[in-house]
Amino acid sequence: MTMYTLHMTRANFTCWRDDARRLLAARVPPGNVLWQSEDSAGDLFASGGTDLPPPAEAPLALRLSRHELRRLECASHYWHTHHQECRWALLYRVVWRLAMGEGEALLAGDSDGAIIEQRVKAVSHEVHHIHAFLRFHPQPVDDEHQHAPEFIAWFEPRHDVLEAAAQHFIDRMGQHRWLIMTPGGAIICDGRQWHIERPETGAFTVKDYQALAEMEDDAEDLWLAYYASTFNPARLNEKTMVRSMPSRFWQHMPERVLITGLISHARHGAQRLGQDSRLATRRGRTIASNGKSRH
Amino acid sequence: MQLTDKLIVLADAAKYDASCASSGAPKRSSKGQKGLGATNGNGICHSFTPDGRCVALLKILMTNFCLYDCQYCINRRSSNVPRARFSVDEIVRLTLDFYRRNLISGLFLSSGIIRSNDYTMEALVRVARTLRIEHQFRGYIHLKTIPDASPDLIRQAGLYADRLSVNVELPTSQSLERLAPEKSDTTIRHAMSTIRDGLEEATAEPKAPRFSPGGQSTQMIVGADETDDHTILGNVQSLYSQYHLKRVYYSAFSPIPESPSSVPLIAPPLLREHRLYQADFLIRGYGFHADELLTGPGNLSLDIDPKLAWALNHRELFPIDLDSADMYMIARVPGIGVTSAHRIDTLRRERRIRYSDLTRLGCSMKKLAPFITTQDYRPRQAGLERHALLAQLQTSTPAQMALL
Repeated sequence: MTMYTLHMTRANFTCWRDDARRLLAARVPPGNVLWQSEDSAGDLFASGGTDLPPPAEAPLALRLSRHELRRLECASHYWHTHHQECRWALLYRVVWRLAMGEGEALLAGDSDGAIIEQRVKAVSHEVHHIHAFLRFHPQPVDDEHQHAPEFIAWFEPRHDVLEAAAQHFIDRMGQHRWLIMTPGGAIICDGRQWHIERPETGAFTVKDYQALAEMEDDAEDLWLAYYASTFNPARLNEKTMVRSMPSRFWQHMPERVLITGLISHARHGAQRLGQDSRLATRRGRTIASNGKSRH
Repeated sequence: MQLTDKLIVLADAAKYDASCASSGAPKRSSKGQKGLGATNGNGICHSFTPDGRCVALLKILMTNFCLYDCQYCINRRSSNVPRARFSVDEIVRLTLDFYRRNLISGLFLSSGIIRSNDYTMEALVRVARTLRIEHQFRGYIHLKTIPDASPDLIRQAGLYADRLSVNVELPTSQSLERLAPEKSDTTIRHAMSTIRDGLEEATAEPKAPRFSPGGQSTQMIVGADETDDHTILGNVQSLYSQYHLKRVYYSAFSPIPESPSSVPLIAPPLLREHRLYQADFLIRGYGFHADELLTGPGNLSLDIDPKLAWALNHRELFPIDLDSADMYMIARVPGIGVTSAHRIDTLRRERRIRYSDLTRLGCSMKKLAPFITTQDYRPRQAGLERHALLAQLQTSTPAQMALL
């Protein structure tokens, strides 16, 4: 039985879809395909690419609903670790099973469907994280910087969420010019169009980013003032905070400098009251009840 | 007063409002256009403070000067707090600046009552209008409505806001009378009806001007008075049905400085607040009736969640067979949520349900085990009495959430 090796370095869902179509047409079962991607480097059986066989006499074909396709594509953005199954192999086994009439292969109760579901969830979650926790830093705007980004950000996502981030921020930022850099690529937007630039070799580092950035930023103080003040020390609940905002994101969020202090302050006395202790020591002002406020 | 100082005063004054939702807005985009901001119906939590609550919106008061003397409120006129007032431009500048940095998804603006109800409401509307018209801001705006403001101003607010809310403040009108002498249950409900009518018109007539597309919500403070959960849930159920509310928020009463003797000076009842949210969710999402969750006066149990409590009181309905039971009953099994119930239903059209499917669906196995059967599973606990089963299912000793 022939083994087929497919090179998936820098591949995307569309490449995989073409390959999967041809493999199905040739009725190649999933056990006979080696998917070689950057994240599964050094596979024991890896060799040069193999030409795919011609279509079989009774080729398999599969029609998927838009919803199903979207799920598969989303799962393909999951970066698996060394001991997890390669994303492309998993996807091919699922479409193979579907083509063989096993309708449950994509359902969350199925053993493969559950992995797909778990990956879709992880990717969607990471998309949500980049939408939420990314922080733009305003850059100087003058003649010298006419075409330079007005806002820049650095983010280290766990999965391939660049496209999803691009779509989101282009809706938000109007005609502003902005740049988001991640180890795997940078999104550059000039206020109308955006594109993704990949590092020529290896990955972008936070140093590459810092080389671009002008980090002086006074207005961050306003945000810190707000963050500390909107916190209610009487309701201290660190566990929920950390669960909802994993600490791997804190590094690039300005409020990181406040968190420990607020917690220990709340533990040592401030916890009885909800009020910000900066206000407790200040002179207050009651208002007469004659229907006129005094200001 | 410096802007930073104002922000500290007016964010502190606003944080007792529990609502932080930035969801429910229509799809809006600024792609390639002048202006700023987008909404797509989903909320985004941009940060979390150490109290575990999310920061989605810039939540501030326009001013904490206030003519009212609501006993539970830190901004009551007799309270000795620093006072401040933002100008329209200051609020606009803060909102846009925070928004561009991706710190927030929009603005949640409320205010103490100054001069008159209409004067205050008009100022709130002016902020929203300036953001929307002058700056073409397409992010989220939530306006807290002043209940005694004229209906016309409420309608204007609906043109610019994604969500409007009027707080019922306390669970019963008697408590409101006692603790918030200047407010009245009647006018609060009147304002909620005005918003409801606006919402109905906007849905009924496609050409009608836009009106608060994210609907309306309200908040009540829990633990500032003696009202029990049974009364609260009963009132909440009628609020939902009368005013098309998107959400009722429950805010555990946090003790405030120089607390008047009319309100308690104890830690906020956070676990009770949590149980109320769970019960509220069962009423909104699972078709539970308030009377099913609490059959008589009293509070929800703190040691088990209300769905489990309900199932334990209805052992005669269980266990149910997942291959044949109604969807409605599957969603009522403790440990199976609405999403999982749908997935079970889809899967059982392909093949019969196995016990291990439920693990893969992420159901809470320990909770559901006594209440279901599948072709390969029958609960051992079927014969156990309610109290024996309860002892098995209790995960930990009942306690209020960790404080001090």
